[in-house]
Amino acid sequence: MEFSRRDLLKLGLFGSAALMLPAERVARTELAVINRMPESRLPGPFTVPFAVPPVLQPDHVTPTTAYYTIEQRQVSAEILPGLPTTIWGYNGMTPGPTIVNHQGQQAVVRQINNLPDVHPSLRYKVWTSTHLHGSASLPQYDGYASDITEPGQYKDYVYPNIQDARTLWYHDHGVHITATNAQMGLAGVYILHDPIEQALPIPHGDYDVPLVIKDAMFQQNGELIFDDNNQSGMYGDVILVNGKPWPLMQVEPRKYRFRILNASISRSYRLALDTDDPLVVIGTDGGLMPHPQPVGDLRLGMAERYEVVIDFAKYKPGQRVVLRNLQPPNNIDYTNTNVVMAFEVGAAVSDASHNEVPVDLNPNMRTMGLTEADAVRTRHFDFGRADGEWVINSKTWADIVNSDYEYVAANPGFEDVEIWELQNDSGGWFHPVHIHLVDFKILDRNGRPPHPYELGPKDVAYVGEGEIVRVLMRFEHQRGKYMMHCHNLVHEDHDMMTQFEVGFGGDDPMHADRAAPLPAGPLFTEPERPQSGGDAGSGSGSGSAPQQPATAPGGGTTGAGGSGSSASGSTTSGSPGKSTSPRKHRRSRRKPHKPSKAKASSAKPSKATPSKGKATSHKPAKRKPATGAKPKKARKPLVRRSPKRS
Amino acid sequence: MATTTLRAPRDAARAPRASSTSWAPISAATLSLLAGWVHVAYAQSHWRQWWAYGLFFVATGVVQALFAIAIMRRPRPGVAVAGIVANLGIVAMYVLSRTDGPPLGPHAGVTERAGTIDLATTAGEIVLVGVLLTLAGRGGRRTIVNALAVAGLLLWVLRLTGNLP
Repeated sequence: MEFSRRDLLKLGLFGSAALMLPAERVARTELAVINRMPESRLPGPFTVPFAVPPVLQPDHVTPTTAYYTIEQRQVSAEILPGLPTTIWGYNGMTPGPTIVNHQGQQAVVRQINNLPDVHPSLRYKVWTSTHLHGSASLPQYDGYASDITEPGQYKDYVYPNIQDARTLWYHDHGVHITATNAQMGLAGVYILHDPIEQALPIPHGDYDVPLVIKDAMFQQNGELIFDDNNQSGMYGDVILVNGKPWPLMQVEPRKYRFRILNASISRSYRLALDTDDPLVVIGTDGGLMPHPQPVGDLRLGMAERYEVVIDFAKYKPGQRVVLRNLQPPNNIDYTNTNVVMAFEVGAAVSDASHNEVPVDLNPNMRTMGLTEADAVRTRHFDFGRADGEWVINSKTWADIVNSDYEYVAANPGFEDVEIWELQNDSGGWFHPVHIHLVDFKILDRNGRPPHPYELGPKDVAYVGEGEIVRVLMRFEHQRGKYMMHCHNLVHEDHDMMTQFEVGFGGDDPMHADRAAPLPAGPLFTEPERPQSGGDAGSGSGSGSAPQQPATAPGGGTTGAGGSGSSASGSTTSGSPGKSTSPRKHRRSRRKPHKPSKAKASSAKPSKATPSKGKATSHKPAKRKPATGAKPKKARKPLVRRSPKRS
Repeated sequence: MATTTLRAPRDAARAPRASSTSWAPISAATLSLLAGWVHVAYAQSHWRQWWAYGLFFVATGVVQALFAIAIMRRPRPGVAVAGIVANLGIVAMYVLSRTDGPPLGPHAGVTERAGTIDLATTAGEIVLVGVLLTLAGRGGRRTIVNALAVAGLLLWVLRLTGNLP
């Protein structure tokens, strides 16, 4: 039986649709790679001026809370000179605006998803989840990957700011699409100050500079290329610092403090100065180190942060100092990925204050005071690849989803101290492992001491090729389920992510506070008249200077100084004199635990406040009875209007 | 009536010409076995994601293997039509998973990336459908071809109008 020409055309119509539509995305990527911008047309290193992301001004400030609004939106930005690039930015910029806060004053950040329904070139359905990396947030505000916000929705994230001063960053964590969402630009810096850090004579203000390092690859028309190299990693041939390709920064001949963040999807760096002068490391992921560590070079995995002081006083005016990348193994390198940026030293110093690095920075900090003897148990985690998936102890995030988010890889008790062994048997991959919620101390690396620059509190451990890294941590601040994953975001998406649960009775990250549809209600409302007696909390009033902290027995700092918005070094500003009622945050429509978790029935509710000895302005919120979530229900104002008083 | 005289005799539909029977069942069985083998080979990795994904792949592979036997033993229009429907269902699921994401499971709504092997397998299944059409009988073939044309047109319209991601 033969086919007529008409039959063949009809079959061809169907066959082309069935094959071309799936192949379209792959073809787009392949064509984009073929159409990659030639290196000869890229800007030369150190030809573009350096820039710093602007500081986000709060919508409103009370003694206890700063309120912010961020809109995630698609814009056309000029990253390469003269060429438009479609990006997704927080408030339309990448990196997003820097958020600056003070210990003891919580922040409420409204994230509005105004992104398109589908990715402009990869055509996937879009959702986001915003993680504040380094914050001990409640589970429902931690950017739990599957707690997504779709276009046309918003979510109000509450950040307690109860920890020590540190460099945090907020970035997308949407399940399975984190890599491309982040590569589109969804990342920004969040700085937390505390009185100890503010009192140190280290560089502050204009001399305290964030460096967000990221790599990208561009088509000839300026659009980004997304090639995950068969799920191994996404690498670019252009190094961006604060969104600028290989920028040149003008510096004064004095000390600068750089908050270096590796916001790359898959690329790690080994940073060094071309002068061979040391980088003085003063801070790690979790804040100031006990003592500064001068190092010749510094390996920087994805999501790791190091605070580094560089002293430019030793250089001649006009001298150019290059920050190099010594290119760790198992990255895909290009001609100019061996340099990051350059500094051009000026002749005059406009402000000579805060120009020191003291021997003691934060010697009594709690995390670094932990010892192996404090640990109540040791757990082991293997990071590897099986059946085409990236796995942790042979499990993937799909296993978490299949268990209805009940499966946990570990269940440390609240405030327990544990040792976790993170193992990477592979010789061909490295895995920067991020453990949410906690700060940890790196005990050793293949039995050898950690690198000098790792002698501070961390939340990402670079687990290199064939390495076993042991980390020690106290599971404190919050109860509930938190993620652990590889911060190669391509690995995370496919599907190297698991979860652990701290204690019992924590809030359910999937249901306690879901995203709601736009239009959003007011972020806060002004009371009709100020409340007598002031707001609850420990704040000292908007605009006041931070108080000196008392040192807690464990070396931690109390958050008594609920600082205002105009504290030293901060560029945030509020509305001094105005008073609003603090938001009573909706919390925890908790799902009942399964019977196998016998302790669940008698567990205490999770505390919004941190461990003993830490006073904060974060108020425990009222709980609602456990009911099914109704994510589409419109929201109430975050701050309720005070009743009229006659 | 002219319409009745133009319609092919029932016997002719049930007993395809020798030229078709000689190559079509063997080709269909070979293509079906190959597609089934690929599905079974990839069952384990899908099982890791979700047991139902794995079960779908195992069931698909087994059905395609059994169909290869069936079409060799009974190359009749009814068997051919059953094979066409089953393989079109598999192709439809594939297109859905690569454009809108699988409808169920932990990767629900997550668009999967097309690869060389799965595209080649799907191409083989489309060819298999074409081969089976030669065994389907004239009436059934016309109906199915027209339905496929409508489906193909609909997919392209949805894609070109932006209603299919």
